[in-house]
Amino acid sequence: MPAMGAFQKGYVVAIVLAVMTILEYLFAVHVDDLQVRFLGLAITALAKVYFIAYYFMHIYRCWREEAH
Amino acid sequence: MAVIAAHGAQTHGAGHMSPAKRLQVNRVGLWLFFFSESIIFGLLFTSRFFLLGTHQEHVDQFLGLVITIVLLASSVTAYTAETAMEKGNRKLAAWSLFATILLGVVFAIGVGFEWSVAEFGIKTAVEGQDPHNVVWGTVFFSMTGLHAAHVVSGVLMLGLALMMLLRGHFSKDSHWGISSTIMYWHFVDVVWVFYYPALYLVAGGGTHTG
Repeated sequence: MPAMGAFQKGYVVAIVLAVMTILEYLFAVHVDDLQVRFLGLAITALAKVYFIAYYFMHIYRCWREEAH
Repeated sequence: MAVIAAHGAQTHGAGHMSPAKRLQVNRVGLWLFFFSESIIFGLLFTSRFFLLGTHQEHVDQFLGLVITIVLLASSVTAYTAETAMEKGNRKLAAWSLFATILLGVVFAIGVGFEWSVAEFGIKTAVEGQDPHNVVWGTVFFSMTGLHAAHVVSGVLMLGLALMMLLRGHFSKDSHWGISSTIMYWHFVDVVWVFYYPALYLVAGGGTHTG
């Protein structure tokens, strides 16, 4: 998301995370197969962590020598 | 020899780092701290599945979803505070920090409420009671308790950062105190991203013995 401003980028990520959280809940409630449900929840959790670690925690800055 | 050693120590010491390099070292150090914390949280997470598989006692699904969204919202306000600080907008940063604290308190109250209405315990199982109940209680209270302790400490640190900001500390170019506290807050959110499905959703919203 290079063209967006910092605030907008954060809000878009937040909306994505909120949608994923609600979908995660609906998926868990409606999918009966245990293995499919477990796999779906694991993939959703990992995707959410990627978004938080990259966009909110700026993990890429660990490899960059830059000021605030 | 000693002079050379001292010179070498000065050259490579923290005092001679550029501000950007020092910040990078701080960030890596903080991530190492998160890694060490992840081991503790990860062990509890693993023990939940090791002891109980996918078995889950009844928990309030609606409350779980609400506190998850509250914690997610607090990550957004925390992000806003950091971004505002990077742009030199101290007023927005202060209000966003305040909102983050408020949402953190709401989350902690939500967990406390969940504890108060929980239909399981950590005491010895009474006769006729499913032994899973006690194991589940131990796992649930340990996981949510450790996480809630981090939420409370995060709220305290955010409060300290807010107080310092209001007293004139930090600037657009130097606000590691705020950035690091907010990163810690996001880490607490990351832990909940794994704990929420493990405690509330893995059994499909109801109780299940796997």
